[in-house]
Amino acid sequence: MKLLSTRIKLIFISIFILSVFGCGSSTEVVNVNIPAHTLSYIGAPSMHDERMHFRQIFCKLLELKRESQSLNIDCEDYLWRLNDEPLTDAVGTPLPVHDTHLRILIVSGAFSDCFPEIGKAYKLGTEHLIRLGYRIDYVPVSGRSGSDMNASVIAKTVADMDMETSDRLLLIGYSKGTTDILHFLVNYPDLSHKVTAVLSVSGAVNGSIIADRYAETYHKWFENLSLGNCEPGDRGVLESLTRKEQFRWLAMHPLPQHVQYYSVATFTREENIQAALRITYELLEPINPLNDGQLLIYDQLVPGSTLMAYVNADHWTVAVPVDEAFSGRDPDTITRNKKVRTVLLEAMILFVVERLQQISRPDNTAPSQTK
Amino acid sequence: MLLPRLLLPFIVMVVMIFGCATPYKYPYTTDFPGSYLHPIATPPVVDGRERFREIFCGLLAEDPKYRNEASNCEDFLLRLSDEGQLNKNPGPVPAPDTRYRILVVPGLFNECFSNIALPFEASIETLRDRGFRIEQLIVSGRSSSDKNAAYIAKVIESTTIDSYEDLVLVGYSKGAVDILNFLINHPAQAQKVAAVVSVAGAINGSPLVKKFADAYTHLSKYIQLSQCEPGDSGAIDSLKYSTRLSWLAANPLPHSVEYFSLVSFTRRENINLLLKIWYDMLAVFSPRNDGQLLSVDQIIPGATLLGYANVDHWSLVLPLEDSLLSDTVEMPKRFPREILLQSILLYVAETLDRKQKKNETAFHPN
Repeated sequence: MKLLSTRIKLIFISIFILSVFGCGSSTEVVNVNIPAHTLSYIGAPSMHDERMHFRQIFCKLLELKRESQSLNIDCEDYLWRLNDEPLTDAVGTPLPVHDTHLRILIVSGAFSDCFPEIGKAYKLGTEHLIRLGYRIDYVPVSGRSGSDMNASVIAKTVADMDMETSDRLLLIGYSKGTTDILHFLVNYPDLSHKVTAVLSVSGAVNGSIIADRYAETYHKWFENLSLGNCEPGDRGVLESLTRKEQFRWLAMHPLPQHVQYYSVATFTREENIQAALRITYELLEPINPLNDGQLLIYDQLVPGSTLMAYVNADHWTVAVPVDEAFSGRDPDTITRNKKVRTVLLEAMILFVVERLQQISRPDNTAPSQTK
Repeated sequence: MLLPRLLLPFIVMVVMIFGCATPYKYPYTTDFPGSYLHPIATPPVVDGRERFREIFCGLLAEDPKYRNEASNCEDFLLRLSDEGQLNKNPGPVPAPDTRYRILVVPGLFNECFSNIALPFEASIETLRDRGFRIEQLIVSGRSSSDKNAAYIAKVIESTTIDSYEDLVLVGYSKGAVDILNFLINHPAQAQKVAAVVSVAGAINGSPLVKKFADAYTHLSKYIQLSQCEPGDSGAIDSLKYSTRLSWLAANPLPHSVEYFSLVSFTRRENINLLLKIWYDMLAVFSPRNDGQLLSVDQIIPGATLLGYANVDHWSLVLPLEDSLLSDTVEMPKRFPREILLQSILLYVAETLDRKQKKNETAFHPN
């Protein structure tokens, strides 16, 4: 009797389970009541959290420019506040001072050279910083090549740089640009010693599930086609971006410890995703609605880096003006995005400058300040 | 005008590629490194797989009961791409160390079906015969981790532990979560704990819970689950992703305790019939799941990773082959649970011994 009773209960439980789980999938809801988290390989170094301080810098800069640039955006709307971010000090610290001894190289993302007008990350922001006295260059990586090939382009650019002893080199990687930079650091250890810091913005650090899904299709049908202004390169762009390649690479290649790493990640709600990214957003959404249309929230942080912010923007809006070419967005939003990108870049640079000032300078010189 | 013209082939490509898009499902493979999801700023995970494998395989080879299984050692413990090759000269298996008091905390609903099986049930009996002092600490199968944490504290409080004894807590599935909550909520009793072992622990919770939680909350008061009381009915809520990750981020684990994690996942064909539906749901996230949990969710931040067991969530610890659920078992081979538990205990003892010697050297450098 006891056995029979247990069996009946098991049948009941099975029916219960099926009634709960037996149906199709449901739409996920963005829940930001969650802490910052990341997907790591075994043995990856710990990360540091500096979101509170970056928020102070960004918000202060935004306030300073709000009136002159008619910036109609709330700081709290632009930077996500996850549930583990400490509250900002009531007494804000003054903005850090610019240091034009910081040399900057920017590595843009996949296909960036195919569309030079919209593919260069932070084009307007860079012009602004150059006016402040910074020396900033774009590394002419191949938008359709793999990360190892682009690592060699970065290596050549770094090797050819004429740096003064007081200069420090910051590499900024956007999307696949981050992956290219990480490969450069590992593949060229001698040259990596010229690098003081790496800043990753929406970096495809762990690779992207989107790339895993479409690498083969790209390889079969599109890698030899003419796409905009760019050459096919070594055709390895999507393969390099797959999680199966990039995460495996990351686990086998510890990053050099003499470099400071900083990460800015992105995700946003579906309604803020621009039209061209909606399909890829929907591909990622069943896995995690916290994504930017190209990357999941937990694939964007460099192991051992300092987390600066989660920006409430889609993968392109955070760095490149694709929405100016085609997005269906209203002109006010497009203009606002353009302006806030410039503020974001300046805030990121100020944050890094301040951090690097805490490390002894190569020649103990005082930072060269702008007005 | 030039820009739209240049973009045209790109747009065509995007539409062609993504037009009939379906979510990508990763194929099952061991040719990929181990990974884990964790709140940032948690301590790194240490890789203990090589030594654990030495002990596990060594015990398997030594035990006459498993003589025919010894060559299957590599089948029982998965070797992922970042583990490295087989050590041709493995270190010796440590001698049994019976200095430790071991308490095994079961998981979700285990109390309700204790008549079918409890974690490591038969293995505990055998190891007890060999001198290990090991007992089950059966918590409420339907209560929240905080409630079970209080119960664990009460049991430890009332347990006489000699000064030379060290307490090791082994948590299976939600049992591991209950133990972690105990360490934080009851620091005085937690001081008695030397080590915590998570066996397929629901450390980050499970993505399944999101769908299950509401239905369970509504139905739980009407369901009579075999031998267990509803408790505070908070069991499922304790396993929500957001709850678990937030808890881990807000509660750094005590450094005085050593942490160990054993993970399980296996191919779909090895998954118990009753777990297959869950396996399929989890496969949307990753085929590296055991029918209840994703492998990336089973590792305690800062723990030593012991290994990846090639088995489903139940067969890892429950002797279902000998129960009325025997027909649901799909594993072709009986998983050597006794060897697994003994390997865990030997590995833990070896680590604690090393830690103690290191501390003694630090205090008495000469």
